[in-house]
Amino acid sequence: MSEATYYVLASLLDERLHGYGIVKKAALLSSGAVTLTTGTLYGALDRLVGQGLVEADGEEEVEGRLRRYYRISDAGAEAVRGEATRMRRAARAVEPHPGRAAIQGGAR
Amino acid sequence: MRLPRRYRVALMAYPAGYRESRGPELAATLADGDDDRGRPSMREAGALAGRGLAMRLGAVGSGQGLLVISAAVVLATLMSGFTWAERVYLFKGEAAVWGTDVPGLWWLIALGVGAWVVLAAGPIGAVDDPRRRRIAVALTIPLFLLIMTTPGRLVVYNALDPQSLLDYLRLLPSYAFGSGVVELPAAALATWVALRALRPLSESARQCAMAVALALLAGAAVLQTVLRPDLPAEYAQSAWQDLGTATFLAALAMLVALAALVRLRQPKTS
Repeated sequence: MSEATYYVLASLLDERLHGYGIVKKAALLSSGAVTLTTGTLYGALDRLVGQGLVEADGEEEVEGRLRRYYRISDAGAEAVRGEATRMRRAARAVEPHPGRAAIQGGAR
Repeated sequence: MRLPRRYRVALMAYPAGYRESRGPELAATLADGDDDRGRPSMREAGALAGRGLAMRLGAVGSGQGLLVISAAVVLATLMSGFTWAERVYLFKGEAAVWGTDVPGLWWLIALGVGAWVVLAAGPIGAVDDPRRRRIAVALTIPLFLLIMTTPGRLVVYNALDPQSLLDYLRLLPSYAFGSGVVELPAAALATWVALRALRPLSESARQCAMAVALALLAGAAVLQTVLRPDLPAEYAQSAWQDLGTATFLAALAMLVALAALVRLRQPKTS
């Protein structure tokens, strides 16, 4: 799962959002590290909708601008949480912790 | 909904159908961003152009592998033209008859088939949607019919004796069509069989298989060049050109293998 895909799914976990709402939420969640471009965002959304991880959820026109909302599906929520678990495990592999020293000691 | 001009320009790289259905939504997102930033950024424009072009290539979601495959397809096209030009040389001043007595002819046909296979398999293999893949395969049928009904090919060999680069360029479309009488049907069949056989494999495995096939073709071409003792003097240049073709193919194989490696190193998790 790419970083963009991950943050698109993560930003939809709590609420349904329209395109730019996802961009802002992703920036917020990543402390500004992820700035999704429109091209990247819709590339990810098209793919996620195709995979059934995200669903279109109504649209409205505000000041002549078409806003289509998206919400995460159960499968999508499961996928992003699975990815988070995987990354947490991966992070543990490089962070210092008591278990690590024990493993190193055992290897000697 | 009529989009403001600058958004229409920004979305120009996308296929018309996509622009029509998704354009207003993308434009709204761009406009929202502009309100915050005050202006559209170059990064936005670049991402839109890249994404739109990738979509036009019919390979949504293939990422980096797609770029390498596209480069391989362009090379294969060049190489195809190269083999046709070479055949002009082989047939120059000779009776325009398909025969097995022309040194290197069958190898050239084999290389041509390889080129067509790469040409077809690259984009077709990269298309995720089965419906669009069927359309891509179906497109080879009218092309095949067009070729079958082009009577010019064998006549052209005799009627025009190419002397200059301009002659070659003028003749290239005829040879492009003509080569297909043998090569394109064979390549279409090979692609169809390969797609059926390779369907259970992953994308990277398919690309690996393609790379192996190309490497075999390249190796065969080199062997044919080296192990041709009865090469008449007037075909000497053709041997060099075979070597050039083989190098082209080797480069292609490397590119495709590279694409496969890129895919293997980024396993799909979503």
